Amino acid sequence: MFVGRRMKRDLVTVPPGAALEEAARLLKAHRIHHLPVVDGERLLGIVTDTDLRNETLRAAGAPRTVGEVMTRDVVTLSPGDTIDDAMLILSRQRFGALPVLDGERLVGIVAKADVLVALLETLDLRDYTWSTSVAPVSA
Amino acid sequence: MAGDGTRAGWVGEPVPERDILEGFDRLIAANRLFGAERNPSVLKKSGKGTAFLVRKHPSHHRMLSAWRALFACRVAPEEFLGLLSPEVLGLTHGDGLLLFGGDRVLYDCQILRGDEAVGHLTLELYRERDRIVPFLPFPTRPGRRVVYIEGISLTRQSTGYASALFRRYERLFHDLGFHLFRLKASLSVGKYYWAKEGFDCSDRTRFQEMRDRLWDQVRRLGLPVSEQEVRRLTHMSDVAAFRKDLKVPVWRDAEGYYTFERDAAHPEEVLFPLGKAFLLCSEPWDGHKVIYTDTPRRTAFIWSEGYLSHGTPAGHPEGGKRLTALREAIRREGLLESLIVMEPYVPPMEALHAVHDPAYLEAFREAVERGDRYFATRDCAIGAGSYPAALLAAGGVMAGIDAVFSGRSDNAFCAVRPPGHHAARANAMGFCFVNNVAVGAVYARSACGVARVCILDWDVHHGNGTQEIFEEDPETLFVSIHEHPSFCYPGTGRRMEKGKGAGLGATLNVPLPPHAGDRDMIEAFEREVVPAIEAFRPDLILLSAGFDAHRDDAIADLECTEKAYIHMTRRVLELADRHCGGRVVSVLEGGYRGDSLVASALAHIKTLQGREATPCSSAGG
Repeated sequence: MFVGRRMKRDLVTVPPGAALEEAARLLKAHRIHHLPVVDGERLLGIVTDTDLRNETLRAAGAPRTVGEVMTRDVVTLSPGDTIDDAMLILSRQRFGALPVLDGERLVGIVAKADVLVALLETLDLRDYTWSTSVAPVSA
Repeated sequence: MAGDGTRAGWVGEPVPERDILEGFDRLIAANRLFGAERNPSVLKKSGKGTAFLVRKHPSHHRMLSAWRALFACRVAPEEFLGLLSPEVLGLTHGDGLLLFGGDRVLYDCQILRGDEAVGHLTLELYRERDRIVPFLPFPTRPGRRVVYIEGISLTRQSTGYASALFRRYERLFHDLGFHLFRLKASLSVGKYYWAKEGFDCSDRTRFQEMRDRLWDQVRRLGLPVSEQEVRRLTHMSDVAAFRKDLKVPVWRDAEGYYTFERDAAHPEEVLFPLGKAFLLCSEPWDGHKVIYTDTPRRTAFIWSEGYLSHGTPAGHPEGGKRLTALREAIRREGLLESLIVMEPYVPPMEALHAVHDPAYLEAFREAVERGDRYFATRDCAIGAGSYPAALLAAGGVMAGIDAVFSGRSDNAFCAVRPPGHHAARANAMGFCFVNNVAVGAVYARSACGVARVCILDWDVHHGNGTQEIFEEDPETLFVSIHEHPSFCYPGTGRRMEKGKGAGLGATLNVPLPPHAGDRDMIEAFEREVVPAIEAFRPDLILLSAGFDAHRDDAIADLECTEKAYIHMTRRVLELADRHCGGRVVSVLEGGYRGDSLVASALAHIKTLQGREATPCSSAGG
């Protein structure tokens, strides 16, 4: 099970000059938590919903860009790494997602959800059909 | 040695046979060419007198076939006589004769200063015969070309003439395609002189006996020399240069030879450095010196029968056959002629304790002595000789490092067994007990003044032991290229493992997916390994060279061939040339299928020698 076959290839990314509001909009629109910050295909950093939350809780100041709040030293994978590698890093480092680089080029991202899908598959539960609908229990 | 001006002109272009025959005729007319036969009376007495009786020359046909066998007709007779008698340090050769005797050609001359004869020189040129079937005396085929130094005598010693002459000869015979000088070092000073000139004792058991005697002598004189220093001697020239700081007294005996015993009749004592004194007093020994042929780099080959004493049960992949097959293939391919074959030595325990926990080694020794079938894990099968063999394997790497740093060879291949790269500080696994490469790296640092060591491991399995030993050490770069641990033993060596603490970044793991072939291997090597070594700028490169990534090797799933090994070897040599004077010590790790191991290791060794090795055997089919 190689990362290259499990990663999400249709990437949602932002340029470093984007405003934080734009980043927040993208996260919400795509229901994701991590945005790779790129210059073309080159990975510059990663910005997460946690970064955005911390930034809004910060004492007021000049509005900042994605490039100013992103994490720069990103832990990445390569397509030849396996899902085991991804699981080990995600659990030990308590990360949410890992960008995948082929050499210098950003080619995909693996998030916790992708790893869970792979795990379901090994448990042979991928096509499990729910007997009841999963609905939130409201008070 | 190659590439000097004298070479291009005449070597490689065979002289027409007619010119050679005419040359014979002219020499016969000038009374400079004769036949010769052994003088039986001399053989009985041994020593004094001429060993050969001069008689009429044999037929032209026989002379020509001898000439062809020795020189491949690359030089004409008169020209050869001219080349043999250069003027060196004001001395010339007179009355130079060519004698054809049986299987050999002799050169005999007077050494002259002006018109005065001051010495005498006899050379024998012949070809050895190799057995085709190792244990049968027949049939044979032509083997190495040998220059036997029958005798050189000068009325005055220490003129430097012999050294200068033989340095010329070494180049001349190198260009003529000769492989070895041989001689019997029997005269008092000769025994020391030839050792100093780089001649080694041909009989290894004999050499070990001499080393034992040296140790006895050291103990008898109560000199401050450790046993380990003596044990580390692997070459006669080491002995000649041994402990120049210690002067010991010797005396002359009734016949004028030096001895360690004081003789009442000859009370005057002479002080010599220990090694010199020992050789002056030693027994005569048969010596040889390799005249390197056609390999741009000198490669040492470290091997010992002792490695076969690590017995594993039948069916165990890591068996002694691996080495015997490799050794036999090296002989068959004629590589022994160009390799500098060396013996490993038993290392001191301190060298091992620098890497391994003493209690662990002790437990290993006890398990072997108890007669256990395995140690630590079930795959680590052991037999009665496993403990000494494991020590000797580490000593093999140390001997390889000695060879490279003493300048006796440019690089080295240590064909050792059991392998070592899975052995951690206090843990045996994966057929490994003592981490040979790690012991070598620490030894190089403590004994050879090396600071930065790069260990490159291209065994198909991750070198987890070596990684564990050096993971906190920023001065040791460990690079391993192996099959991905999700699919392959030992389950470590993921890309995320990059070292710990101060050593963070000095570990590089390059896992390859199953079924990766030459292209993937070479690509990953070029993309990640080369830049890492380049940036690290090592002072020494150690290779954990396992050959089990070969596609014929069933132990793992990589599908490489000799091509990948040749490519990586060549690149490693380039890196070593750039950063550390070409110093590469390669250590055998895995490789469990006889033919693919042999083909890969041969290709690797040939590339280490600087030959343009082309992949052979199983790679094609």
